[in-house]
Amino acid sequence: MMSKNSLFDWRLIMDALRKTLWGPCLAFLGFFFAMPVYCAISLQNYKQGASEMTQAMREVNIISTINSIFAGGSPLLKAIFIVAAIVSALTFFYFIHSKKRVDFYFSLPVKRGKLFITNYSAGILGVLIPYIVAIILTLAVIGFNGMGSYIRWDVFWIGLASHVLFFICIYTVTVLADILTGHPVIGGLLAVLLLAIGPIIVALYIGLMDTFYPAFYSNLFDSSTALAHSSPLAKYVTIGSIPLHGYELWLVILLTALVFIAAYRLFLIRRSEAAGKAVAFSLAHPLIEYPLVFVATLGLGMLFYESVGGENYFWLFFGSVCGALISSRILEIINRFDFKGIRANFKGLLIFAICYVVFICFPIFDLTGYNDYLPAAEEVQEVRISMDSVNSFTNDIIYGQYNQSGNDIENQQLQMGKLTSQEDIQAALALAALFHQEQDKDYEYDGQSSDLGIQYVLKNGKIISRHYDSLPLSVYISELKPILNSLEFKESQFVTLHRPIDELKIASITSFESGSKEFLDIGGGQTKLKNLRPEIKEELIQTYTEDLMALTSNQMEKDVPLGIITLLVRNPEESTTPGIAAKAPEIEYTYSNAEAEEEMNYATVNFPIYPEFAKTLSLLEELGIPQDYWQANLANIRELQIIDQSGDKPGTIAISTEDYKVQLEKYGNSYTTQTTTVPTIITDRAEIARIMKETAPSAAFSYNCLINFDSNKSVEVLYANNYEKYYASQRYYLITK
Amino acid sequence: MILAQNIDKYFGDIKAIDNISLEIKKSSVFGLVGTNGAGKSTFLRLLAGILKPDAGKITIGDAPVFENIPVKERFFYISDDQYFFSNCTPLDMRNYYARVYPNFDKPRFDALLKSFDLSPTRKINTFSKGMKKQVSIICAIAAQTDYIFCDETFDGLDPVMRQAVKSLFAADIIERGLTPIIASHNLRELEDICDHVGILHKGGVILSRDLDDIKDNIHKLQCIFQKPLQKEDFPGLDIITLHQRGSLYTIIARGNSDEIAKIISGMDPLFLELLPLSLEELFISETEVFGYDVKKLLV
Repeated sequence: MMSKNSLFDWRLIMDALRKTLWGPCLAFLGFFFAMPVYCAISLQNYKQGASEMTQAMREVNIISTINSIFAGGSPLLKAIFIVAAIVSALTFFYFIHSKKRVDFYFSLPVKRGKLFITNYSAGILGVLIPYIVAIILTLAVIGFNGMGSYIRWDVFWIGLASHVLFFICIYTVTVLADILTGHPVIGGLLAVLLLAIGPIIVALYIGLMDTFYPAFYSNLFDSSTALAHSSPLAKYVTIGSIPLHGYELWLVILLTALVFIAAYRLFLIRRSEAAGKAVAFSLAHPLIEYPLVFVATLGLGMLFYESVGGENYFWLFFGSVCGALISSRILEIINRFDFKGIRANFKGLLIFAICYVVFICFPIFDLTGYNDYLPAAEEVQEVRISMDSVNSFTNDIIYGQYNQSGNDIENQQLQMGKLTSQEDIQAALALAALFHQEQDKDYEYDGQSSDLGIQYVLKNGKIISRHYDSLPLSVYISELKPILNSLEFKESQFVTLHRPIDELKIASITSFESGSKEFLDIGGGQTKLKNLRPEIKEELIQTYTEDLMALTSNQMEKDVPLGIITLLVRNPEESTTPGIAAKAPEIEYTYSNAEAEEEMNYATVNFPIYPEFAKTLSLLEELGIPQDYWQANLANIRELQIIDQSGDKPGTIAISTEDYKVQLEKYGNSYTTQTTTVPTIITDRAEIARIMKETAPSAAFSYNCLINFDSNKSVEVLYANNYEKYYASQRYYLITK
Repeated sequence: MILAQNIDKYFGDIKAIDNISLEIKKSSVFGLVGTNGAGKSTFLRLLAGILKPDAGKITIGDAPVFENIPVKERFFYISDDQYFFSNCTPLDMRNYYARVYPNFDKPRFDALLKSFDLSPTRKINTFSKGMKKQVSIICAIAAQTDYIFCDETFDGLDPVMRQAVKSLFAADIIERGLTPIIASHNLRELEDICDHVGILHKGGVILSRDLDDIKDNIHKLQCIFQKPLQKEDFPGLDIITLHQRGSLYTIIARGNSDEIAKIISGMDPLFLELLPLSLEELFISETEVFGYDVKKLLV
């Protein structure tokens, strides 16, 4: 006999399972092929291909395969669990959509709460039992193959927990959707909507900000993480590509508990007569309809607006009207199961339209003043700046870290552009004001240009970020120079140089003129640099740091760097961004040599060497790098090819097939196309020397954000070498003032 | 005793049950009759705790029905379109009900199934409509509840089965005080078995009385008068319906038969005869008062 007071009755649960045996059977089939069968086939393949792999590689592959089966990121398992969650919920709560079944179940002496728990539990067990059986079979396969020691039990348990938790979460959301509606198809649609609404809203937010707020700092907005966190379904799908943290599992548990309580309470009060209707609760209809209509209205409006380049508000209006009408009429038809619903509830649509018009005025007219925001200097505690032209030589340190997302990189670049003194803050505000003022103007972008990302840390604790699109260097150079002179700015930009010396290695010294040299290696100098005694290494790095900190923006405006010093920086154990691991997790590789170990655990950073770095250049000469290493060897230059694509020349022209063949034979594939600009060839030695003085290697410009060049006028410098047909070359650009 | 007090029930804007108050005594057979759309099924579903009334209360033995398990264990509801699990057999249903109803009598179930010549292991979805009804009734009787709510259960049964079911009900009424509440259009069948009748029309109760009381208080007369007469020409008579065909008048009136006869006699009829009134005629007469008239349905 069942317990009358308890909500839990095992016999009823088993009964419910037995009546819907097809579900667990299908689930088992899916798990069976995705787990033990897949495992057996994979292990068989490794055994057969063992002779082709080294022992280490084989072990790494086996570990990876075995653990990927159990891991939370397994795409096969995720797909099975997502489908199973939705189907199971719709199946075990199907009875509430049928008047016949409702009459049967609700007339029985069984509490509604017990009915809910019975079906809820049966739906979960119907998937989890086959999953557990499949796990046992997989473990048996692994054990049979003698590979039990390769199982990573932490991966196993975390994977199991994440699959089970997310399955229950998605299942519970679907149960809630089912209870809110009166028809299984509508319930399924609502479930998908509830699971997808988060990512939809995030996508709409990003679209809205990108469309109407040019000052929106999109690089700082971690859209991947936002999308992943916007819904349990999205989070579950992204496990593997985006790490899952312990606290997130707790969040899932909390969300599931809340949804469960809501579903349970609504089930208890759900009217039996709702069976067969579209929506079971009259209040639920507007709560479901109007957010959907809003999404469709805004989405379609922005789509049409963006399709004309954001130039014409008519298309915004047109798209919005279409979105509102189509979505609201479809929902009214579904609500009534009658096409005549197309004429229903225009009053509600009118009220929505008024609210929407009020809403859309905010971004159209920027009523909140978002785009024009510029704080007063006295409100600001700290400013952080990120400019792509300034950041170019600090990027490596960030890209070298494992698993960084785009906004983590942007955040770190901002951290590396800190300004706290009032003088520097005012300079930064002046730069921001200039960028804001010049945004809508048309400029020619023929040389250096940069965007501006700026973050204000206010004294009241708020952090406000803005971004401005690129402007040519000539527009902002005056405002940028004071910032580049700031010692604080330089110290935060070149943060690598302040790392403990034992975390740094010198990889190489490279001249930008190295293309003109006969040999790239400077007589064993590079190898010598890598193996410097610690005190010499320290002296070199300190000397370089002093020279770099003393460099002024006036000097940068005058000179291009001669070359770069490449440092290897040991990756931190933990990234500066909380929760993101710097190293690849789980699998430890055995390194075959020091180079591989270096590659895995060190990041490469390049720093410019300017002509003004007398002390550094002198020290390098003592270490075996001669002064002439930095100069171009004009004698090795065979010819210059000047390519002018500016407006006063015809630009690209088609050349005849014969000419093309001649060019191909002479210059090789790299420099010849059938619509290439025909270059002007210079072979006169004096002319070569003159032109070389007015140009600089293209690489040099990326290490100096204050030197401008004309990107329309490039010079291909061809060097003599041992090859008859193909020539080594390097691209130079004309320096402009 | 089942007591329904001032029950209202809405389905959207439609008022399906309008201020119904009914008392159903124990150990009596209550017949619930009504016009199409009167609210019979809705009322039974309210009694069974499937629907919750929007106003009023329903109690069984002074305890509310809705979500009250001890009360729900006291009745068994047979829907007009009873649900059975997919691909289940009568034995499967027996086992399920046995878990749910504390007094379920499995041996009685088996015996009844045998006597009705139904296979216990054959899938119910292969049964005819009548056979499915038989299974429902057997489940209800075997559940050993105090009340059985039958929504048009007798419809679909052949005459022999109907008699058999009536006999079963009668036996259980006597033996353990079973109280069936039967909703039906088949008034002739109800007339045989019901002690008490409630007539519903447009969500409200027209009449709810013991059948004998009704028949004692409503009478049908045929009389012939020389001159034409209207309802108003019969003072002192509570006429429900008056039909005239030539000089022949058929009157259905409330009141004591002797008093009615005396009044008519005082009007010097050429002919006067008291006729027996069937439940069907009673139903038609009572509903005609409320405008539910067959003449209005005919074009």
